[in-house]
Amino acid sequence: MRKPYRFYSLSRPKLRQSWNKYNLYNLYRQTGREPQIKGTPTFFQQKWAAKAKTRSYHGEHIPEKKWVRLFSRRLLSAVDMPPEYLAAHDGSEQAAGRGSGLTTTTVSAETFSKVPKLSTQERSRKRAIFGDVNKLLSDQFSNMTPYMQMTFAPLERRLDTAVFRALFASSVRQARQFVIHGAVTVNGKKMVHPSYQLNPGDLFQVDPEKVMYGTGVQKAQQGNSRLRENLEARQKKAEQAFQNAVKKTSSATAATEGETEGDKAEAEATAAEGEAAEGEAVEGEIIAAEDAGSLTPEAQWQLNNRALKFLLKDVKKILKNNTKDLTAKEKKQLRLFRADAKRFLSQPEKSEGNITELIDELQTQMKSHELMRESFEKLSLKENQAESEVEAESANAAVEEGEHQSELSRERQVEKGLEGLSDEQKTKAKRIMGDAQLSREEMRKLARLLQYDEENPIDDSKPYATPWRPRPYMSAFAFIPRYLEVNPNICAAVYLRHPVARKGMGEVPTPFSYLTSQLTHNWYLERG
Amino acid sequence: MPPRLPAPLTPVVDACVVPSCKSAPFVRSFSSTPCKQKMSRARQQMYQWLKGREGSELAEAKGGPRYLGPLQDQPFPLNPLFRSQPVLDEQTRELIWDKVIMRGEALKAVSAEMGVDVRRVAAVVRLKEVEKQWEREGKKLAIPYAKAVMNMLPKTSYREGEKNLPHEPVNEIHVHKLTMQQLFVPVSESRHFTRQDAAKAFHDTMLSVDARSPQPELIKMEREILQGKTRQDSLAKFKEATQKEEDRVAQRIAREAQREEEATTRVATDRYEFRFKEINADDVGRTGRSRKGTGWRYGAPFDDRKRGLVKIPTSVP
Repeated sequence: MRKPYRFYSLSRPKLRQSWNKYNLYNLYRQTGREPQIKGTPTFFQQKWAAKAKTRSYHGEHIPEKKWVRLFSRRLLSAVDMPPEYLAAHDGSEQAAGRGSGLTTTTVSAETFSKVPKLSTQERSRKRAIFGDVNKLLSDQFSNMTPYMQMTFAPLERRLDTAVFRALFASSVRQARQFVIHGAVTVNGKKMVHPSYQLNPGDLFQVDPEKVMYGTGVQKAQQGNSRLRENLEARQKKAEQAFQNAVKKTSSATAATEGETEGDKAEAEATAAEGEAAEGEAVEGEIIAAEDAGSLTPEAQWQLNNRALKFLLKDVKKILKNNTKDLTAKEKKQLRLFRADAKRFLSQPEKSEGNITELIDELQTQMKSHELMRESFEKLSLKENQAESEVEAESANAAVEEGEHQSELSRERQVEKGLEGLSDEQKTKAKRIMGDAQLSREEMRKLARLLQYDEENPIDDSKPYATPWRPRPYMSAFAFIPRYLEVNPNICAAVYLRHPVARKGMGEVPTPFSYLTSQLTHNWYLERG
Repeated sequence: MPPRLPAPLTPVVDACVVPSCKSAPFVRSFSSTPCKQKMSRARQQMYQWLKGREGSELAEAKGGPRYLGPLQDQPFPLNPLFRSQPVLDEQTRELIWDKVIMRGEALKAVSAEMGVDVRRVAAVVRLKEVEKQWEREGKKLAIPYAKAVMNMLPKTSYREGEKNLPHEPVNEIHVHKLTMQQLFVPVSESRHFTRQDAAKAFHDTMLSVDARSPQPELIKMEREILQGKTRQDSLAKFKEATQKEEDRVAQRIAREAQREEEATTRVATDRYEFRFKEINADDVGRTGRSRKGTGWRYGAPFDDRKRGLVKIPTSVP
């Protein structure tokens, strides 16, 4: 049926099967209550009003004629019969002695039940409205089986309603659309009829993408444009700088072979680079490092070193802080790191690679990098004293990384090695050395962070806002009735049985009071 | 009457730069009607509430379930007869799957032990199996959605080796239509009038609660305990009985599959595998329209595409 004009209205409010905020507000201000009795409305008028109210919520998208055909006056209920009771008593105790005027026993099936009772705890102490008809009536009914609340139970069997009740769509109309668009399967077969009546044991499954779209925050017009621009700019820069880096390093190595003085100059150059810290030139080396086949192994190692340093620059900072609550900026840096790391490990950027694999590969890369450094140290003993010592010490320290003691000794040795330099340069050099390595603990932390980010990534191709968040006001509507068993991981649910009424509880989710439902039921009984 | 002046011509874009208007100021709207200058009173009140304490609490949804009703688990303020009942949490569902699939325990035994309905136990296992299959196939699960939803729902959790509350009644009996009438049966005072007699009074073929129970073995176990046997012994017996019953069902299914297999002749060609089965031509009945029969009598109308007939399937196998 067409969606009626002014579906969510404040002036003439109606309750709907939807998570809309207008609907929430209408629920809050008790739109569906029975009106104060003014004048003398006839029974017919009361029934009509109640019917109109309940039908605007229950299956308003179904023509009245069809609902009338579905209506059943046989309302289902169930009783808990604990096996302990059935074993201990054969039922004769209910009647024993009644004829001779004895009082009945207090023994009943209910006294044996161990199932936790419904809560009677008030959430907040609210100002009690004197003579609240609805409350007075429902207090009275809490000790009986509320059959009248089961009036609309046949509608809960419909596929679209079940999809909505399983929290896979934000309204029944949306659930209906999901079904019609072919996103729902029943027992593994596509079902395009929203009015399909589920049978007990039917497993229905909704496309997770649709569910995330239906229950997630809506996508903004220019949501992640900044991040996308950042990523694109970074990639462009990297590609452009690639050529320069290759040229520069090859010429630099040629120079070092010639002169001994060049070392010092280079050390200063790296320090300066670290200080600049923009990494504009270094970025290119991330790519350059991966295929510098034409370069000498030493030059390649240097390239690799600088790339690693750049890669871990921001991550070190993030890992230092508390990893529980990252700021938006840190999250962004993490995502940029992932993109860079993939580039560094020569994985395709668009690939859906596993995060653990990525981290493992990064670790092996770093280890091999470390080994190479050691071998170089042995070869180039003649090099500048301070430089080589520093490198050797850091290499030693890296072997037994993670331990506090070694950290301390490393500090000391590094201090010793850097005697000749000024204080300013000392700190710079230390920072540079630490930048190319991550401890095991840090690695684990990073892996966890990336895993968390991978589960809920930023993805512009999705039709919902990413990273996914539940839509506002969802929690007020989040309940799953017991006749469904839901697995939200795969967005699938099983319709276990038809909804039933129990003592003090009707399983059909309806926002109306017992009185309204009673009037409605009487309307559909078509008796007087 | 004062002369009517034409309304000042204002560009459409300007009409939307009213603070009440939500759209961005530089987006040209298609509508030439200017935005309403003032919010209606009802709308104002709504936004006041939404931005207030209660509204913002509901919008954020942090730290467990949060409903509108006056009671903690009541989602609808007017209907205290509907409550949001807890669902099984992630670990408990995993545990159920582990018990049934990995340890091979009987469904009924798991149900009785954990206080979960047998049908729910079966459903949890079925859904978990699908989930595992997805994981094997490398399909992406809706983890962020699941986390958010489970955070908003009340949960029951079962921990092994601890004392746990049951999730739901395990021995629930549907109220039979025949028992919903009030019945006056005169019996002598000395008569021992049991549940079986009461069922008989309602209808000759009516079964008593004990016979309609989904867990008859459990009742038997409790009875044995009351007769003086130890709980351990009877529990072991109960587990054995449920296991045996489940094995019987499994064997029956296997037998049926085997019989089916024996009845079919498979002929594999390079493109297809043809499967031949013996059928009885008389199954279609005298009119040739019986649902059980294969094919239908030549000329008998086949109504499956006729106008006015419901084509929506009633069941999906």
